[in-house]
Amino acid sequence: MALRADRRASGVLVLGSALLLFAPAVLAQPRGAAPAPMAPPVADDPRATAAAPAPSAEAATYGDTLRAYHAALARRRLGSGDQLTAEDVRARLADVEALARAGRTDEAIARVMDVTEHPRFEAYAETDDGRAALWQLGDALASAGAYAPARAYLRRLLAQPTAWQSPATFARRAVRRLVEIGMAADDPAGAVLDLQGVPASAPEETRGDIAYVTGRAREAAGDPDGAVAAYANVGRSSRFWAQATYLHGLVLVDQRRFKDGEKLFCELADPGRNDRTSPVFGDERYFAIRDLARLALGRVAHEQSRFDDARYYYYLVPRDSNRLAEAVYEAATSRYEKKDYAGARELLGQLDAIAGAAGHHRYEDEAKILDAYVDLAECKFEDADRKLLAFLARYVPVLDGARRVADSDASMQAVLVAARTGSDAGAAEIVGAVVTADTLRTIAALVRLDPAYSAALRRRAVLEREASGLRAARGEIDDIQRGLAATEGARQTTERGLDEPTNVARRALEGVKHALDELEASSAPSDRVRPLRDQLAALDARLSSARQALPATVAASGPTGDDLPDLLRADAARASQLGSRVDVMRAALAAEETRLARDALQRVDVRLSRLLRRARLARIEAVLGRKRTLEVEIEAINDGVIPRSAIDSLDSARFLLDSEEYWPFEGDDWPDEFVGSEVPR
Amino acid sequence: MSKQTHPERRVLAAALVMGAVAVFVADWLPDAAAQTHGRSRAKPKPSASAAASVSATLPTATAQPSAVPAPRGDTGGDGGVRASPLNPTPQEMPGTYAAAAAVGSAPPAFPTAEYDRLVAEIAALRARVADVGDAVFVARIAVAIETDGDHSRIGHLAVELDDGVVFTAPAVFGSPDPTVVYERAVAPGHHTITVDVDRKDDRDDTFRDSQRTRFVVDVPKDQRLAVTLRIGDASDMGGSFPSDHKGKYDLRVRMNAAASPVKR
Repeated sequence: MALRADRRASGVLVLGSALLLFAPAVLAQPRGAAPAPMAPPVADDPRATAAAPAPSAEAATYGDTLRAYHAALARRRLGSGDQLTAEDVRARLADVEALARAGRTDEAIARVMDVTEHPRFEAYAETDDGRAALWQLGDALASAGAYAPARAYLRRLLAQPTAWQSPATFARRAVRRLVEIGMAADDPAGAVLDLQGVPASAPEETRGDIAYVTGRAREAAGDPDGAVAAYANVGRSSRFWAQATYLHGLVLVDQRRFKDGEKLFCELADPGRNDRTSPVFGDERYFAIRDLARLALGRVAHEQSRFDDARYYYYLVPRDSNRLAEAVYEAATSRYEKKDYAGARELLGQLDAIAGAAGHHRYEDEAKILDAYVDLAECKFEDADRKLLAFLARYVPVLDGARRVADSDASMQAVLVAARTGSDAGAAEIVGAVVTADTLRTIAALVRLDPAYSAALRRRAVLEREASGLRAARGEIDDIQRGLAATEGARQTTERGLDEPTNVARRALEGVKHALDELEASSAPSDRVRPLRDQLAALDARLSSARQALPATVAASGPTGDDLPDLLRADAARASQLGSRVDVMRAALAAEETRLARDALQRVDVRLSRLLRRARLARIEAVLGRKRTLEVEIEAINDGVIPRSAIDSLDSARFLLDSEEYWPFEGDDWPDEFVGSEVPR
Repeated sequence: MSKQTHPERRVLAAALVMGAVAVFVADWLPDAAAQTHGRSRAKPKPSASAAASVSATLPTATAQPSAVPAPRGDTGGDGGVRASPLNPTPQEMPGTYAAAAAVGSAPPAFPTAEYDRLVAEIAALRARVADVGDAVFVARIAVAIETDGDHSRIGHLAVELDDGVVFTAPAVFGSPDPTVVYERAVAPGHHTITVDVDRKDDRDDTFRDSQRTRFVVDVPKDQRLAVTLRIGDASDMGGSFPSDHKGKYDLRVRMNAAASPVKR
């Protein structure tokens, strides 16, 4: 039972982690569920005991400098000055919504932030347009991956005294977005803190969202009972009903409350449920969870040795599901455990068909071993041995290839990106090793990616996009400074750039380096050149640290004045400092990705090593089985029972061709017809 | 005749089998001994089944019962108890191997809070620089994209203005009509627009090509420069090369620009 429990637990882990990728399902028809109290903060979260941040103050930190710019621009009669009417807000909102719809998130952020940080925005902040602007800003920032300011602006919206006055449209939308941010950032506890102030009289769908994210937070904090209580409060009208029900069931199964868990899974997996009878609007995510629930039911039945039930549940996973290979493989395993070898073989045949259509599937290695074990169980030892030999011939090179791929970070990333995106791994560029395209495809099919790896890739994409925008912003600051200098007819010191002195030093160092190269090329004595090289390296290091320290010093001092050039100079320095921090963060992300990628390939190594050992052990069993068969046969012969194979070998008719005819000896011979030595004695 | 040869065949067969087993076991036993997961679960017992199977074909045989223990009894379910020999180990699950392997030397956790702060600061700085630029500059640039090609699928498309990416196409992107993807106030003068495009053939996506094209434009003072990028593809590698071994890549990025006075 222990191993089966392991498998179930691991299956639960995979299913649970897969669910992390799911965004909210969909809305539901209302049902009269009892109102749930607002969830308290997660007890184990140290932030819960800290004072909640003052939303307005926190959001203001992101807009402080922008407000200083507004004041400076107003003094120079640039920009919109202190003119901001309700019509302006409404018109700007329409622009921003159009930009957000078109995916032009950065432009949307800039446009709407201009409104929300305007000196006169407070007059409109508690109108519908003002709330819409705050929500739009939070939404756009979250879409860009800037979760911290997004949460700050959405909290600012929720903190308004009149936010929950009916119909509370934007308060409800803010709650939804905060919950989504909590899920996307894998920080449900943070979302719970953000939503502490939501009144208990909030609409049911809002309460469902909060209950769901509370359940996730409590589960992450290792409090299954709290999670169960929270999930139970997610009503059917919540867009998270399917996820909450599934996770609720998983927690119960983990507590070995199989009946209760099964009941919940059944609510999701009911084959009679469709888009007309379902309480939620079914979309692809709902159906994905439904398939997971069916797999979970199969595993629970399997765990309890109810193999026919398990077969039925696995059968419910539809053919167009991307969980089909998993379901068929698990079903084959359950048939094998029930000793229904014909059923197991039929299912393995279906798996082969799936592999034929898709090229590879993630259970192909295990299915091949199971196939050989079914042969062993049916005493088809030669077939089993042949299959095991074929398995060894195929997967020893795959294991070897996986180890070679793991030797190079770039190769690892190439294969894992193919595994993640579903692109052709055979075309991945492998550095310094010869690995066939088919081996690469097999590795990509077998690798199980950690959800953390996908999160790291998402973070890197966001960071690269922001870094690129930062470069553009630095260029734009230079343009603005030049424009202002030209307008004023005075050359700003900033125009030369803060890096000017260090650039001079850099050029001087380059010159020395070039001279040393020439010296070495002209066969100068190395014992005289080497000290010079060391001194050059030391100077280079001092210059690098000076370059890093310079922007930090300037940025730390903040704007020295409130005029436009001062603010621009401070932002230029801040941009340089941020550039250095981006480099550091990029290195940290690369290290994280490499660690997770290496972990994924190590797991492939562990898995294939296990299966190869299993195949070798199975070969021993095949040989022992053949030996035992012969022993039984020999014992039978000894007892006077001729085995069928022996009888057959005496049957002369089997040696004739189709065109030949056999006339058996009928006991009549005429010796006098033989002559000479042919006459038998 | 056959009765006389039986004892010899029997001895020969037994000797051959024992020899083969001895060689095989000597070859594989180190692997078997080295495996760490043990045989804690009941796994297939071919010897027992073999005996049963052969006995079935030899009804009068008096074979000795197998030395391998018989399968355990039913545990209350509707079937047998032959656990799969393929149950994975916990180390094969995501996130567990690294934790187990790094006992005492756990890798440093990724600085999530620092990352969030950095992204937030950059986003805020970019937003205010854009805001100030809009206030200071009158000249504008608008970039529109138009795509063309029957069998072309764009894998990656990014547009850069000067040093920064200003547009990245979503996963599935096509724009048969010019669609504005970026519009901002910029300093009048020279700017560079870079288009980075990867395309693949929808008939066979192993045929793919990439192109990076750079255009320098001049934005006149107080004018709006409308830039239209046309990405045309007449490649037929995916269609014709597999059949007749002839084909061509023909990906072109062209640009039209027209300036007009800014409406104040």
